[in-house]
Amino acid sequence: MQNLIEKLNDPDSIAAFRARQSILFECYKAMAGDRSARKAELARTLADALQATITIEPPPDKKNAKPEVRPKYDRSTRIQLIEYLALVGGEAEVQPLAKLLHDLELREPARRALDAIGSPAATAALIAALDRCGPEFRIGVINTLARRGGQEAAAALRNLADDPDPQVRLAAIEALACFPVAGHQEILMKAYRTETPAGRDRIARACLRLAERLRDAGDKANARRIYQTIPHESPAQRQAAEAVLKTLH
Amino acid sequence: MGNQRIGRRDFLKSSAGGLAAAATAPYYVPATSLAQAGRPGPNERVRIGCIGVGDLGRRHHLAGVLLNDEKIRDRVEVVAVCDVDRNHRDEAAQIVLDRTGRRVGVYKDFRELLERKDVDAVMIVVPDHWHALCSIAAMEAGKDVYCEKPLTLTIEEGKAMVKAARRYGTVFQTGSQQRSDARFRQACELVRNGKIGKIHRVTTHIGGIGPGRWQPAQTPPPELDWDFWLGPAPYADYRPNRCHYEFRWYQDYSGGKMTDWGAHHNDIAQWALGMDETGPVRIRGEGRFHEDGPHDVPGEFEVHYTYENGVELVCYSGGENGVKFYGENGWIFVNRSRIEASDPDILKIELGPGDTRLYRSDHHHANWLDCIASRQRPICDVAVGHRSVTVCHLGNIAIRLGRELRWDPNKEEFIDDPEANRLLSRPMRAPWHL
Repeated sequence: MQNLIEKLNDPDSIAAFRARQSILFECYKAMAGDRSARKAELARTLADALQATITIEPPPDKKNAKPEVRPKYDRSTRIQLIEYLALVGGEAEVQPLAKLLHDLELREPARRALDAIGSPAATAALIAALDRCGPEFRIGVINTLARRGGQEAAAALRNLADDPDPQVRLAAIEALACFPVAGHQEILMKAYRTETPAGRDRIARACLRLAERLRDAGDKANARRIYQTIPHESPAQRQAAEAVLKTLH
Repeated sequence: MGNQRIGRRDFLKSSAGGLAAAATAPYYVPATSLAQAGRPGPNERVRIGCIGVGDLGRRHHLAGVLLNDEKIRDRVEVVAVCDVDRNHRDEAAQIVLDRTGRRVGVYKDFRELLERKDVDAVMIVVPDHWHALCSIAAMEAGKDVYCEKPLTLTIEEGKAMVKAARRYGTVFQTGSQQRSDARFRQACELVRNGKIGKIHRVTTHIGGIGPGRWQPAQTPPPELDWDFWLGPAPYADYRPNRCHYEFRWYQDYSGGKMTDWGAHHNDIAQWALGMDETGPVRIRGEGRFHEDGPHDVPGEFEVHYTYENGVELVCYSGGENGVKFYGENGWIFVNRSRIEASDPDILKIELGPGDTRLYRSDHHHANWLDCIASRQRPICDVAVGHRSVTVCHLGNIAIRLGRELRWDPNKEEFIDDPEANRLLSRPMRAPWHL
């Protein structure tokens, strides 16, 4: 495995491709319930490589400088390692991936890998990252939290519903519609009143999704209430709501 | 009124005006078929925006069908074109101008096109990894949709598309146009009605792919917004042969031949077997990948699917392109150029009064336009397209995992198999999400 990892960024495209595919198929082979030990071992090897460092001694003319510790593998190799962890990573790999949520070059693939690892620790790591990153990346984290569900994720998203950044705010509001929580309608409607026309359109779409979630979860009364309040300014959403209201008994 | 045009939506908003016109105009169809608010009526041209006007979108759908086909051209008005490649969109706009004398709106960002209130419907012919996002955004904007096959990149995307279509009452046609071909329908009706006896096996033959050739990473050409082209897919350096057309052979953007042609022939297998609302329950597959790349989807494969009733579907990369049905009393083979049976008389059988007739469409685009007017579901509705490409995705997943998988077609998940279920979706690159 170590040899293959070394070759992931081989200047010879074919050698690098072969290494990439070989590790990928090792991951696929390990993805089975009866091979959990192999999967854990493979994930550990990949995570170790992801965290591996080398120490560069200062040049002789700068004897007072401190040695520099750098990642052993370049960015492209580490992205590849992260993508493998999206397949075989588990609870034990959350921490090494979470550390990368603050690395400008690796945070996006790390976010996607954590998205694929369905553990509460991964959710917690993603929520923690929300406080320490810029708007573009926060939107990705918000999207991931929306996919994961759960009370912790919902609470974190509610905190972002009045974020000063409009794109973050709208992403959070859209994400809240993924949770069958009747109280989210108030947040959505409050935002609707102050958003731009484009933002209002997005919120109307989110309202429709929220109503659908509640309806599917059996909360028809609150679903009906939301369908009734879908604004006329969003005709496609209004029309869709009216069609449902005719059948929602 | 002179030359002043009144928008369709404004006109139909006044139901009295709409009904009065319906009652007096000689060509109008019964009031039961009147358009819904904001939808084109049965006698109106459907105003279409073309999202994705690369080779297939421009040459086939736009120039070949929308502007040229005698069953279509007088029923539509192309009002906008969109592509992340400036050359594509400019050429498309020029084609519309040359053929119709009309200028169209030209867009790089599909979301801007969708903001137009005068676009009734969109033709989506973008790379596979964009199908779900463009389609869902279009449905949310109240447009009807024709989306090329394969409908999705992942099974999760298909589920979201079906939900959105039902939420908005969208008329959604999947571009698996073999359903509108008389030969395929005949084969499916004969099979469905037991004319070759009980079916025990279906084989589909869809072709394989070569390894491709390596190209160095390059600066994207100025006419192409490469980052937008990648969209929800992981970032990759630009190489010309990862992009137009050839994206099909990279798993970040597509499922290879399995989805490219499987969305045609596996779709026909599903139709004949009456499995449009469900799917196989067991899948096992083998594939050969090109060792030297760069194509990273299976080059050759053989996937075995078993349905709950015991029928086996085998999808091969090899063999003559087509679909073959094996019944206890004979076989039928069909492809785009011919239909054959073990006994030629089988093909002369006429269906009786008690036989099942399948949905009849003789023209895939015309069927879509008919349904836009009637608000009925087209022959290859979004749910049909989703279930058919699900068969293909299941095959790709089985090939990769190299073991037999058990699938629950009702829940649309693998049974007790969290590892396989991890492959049902792919997190998208921010800010994109379903």
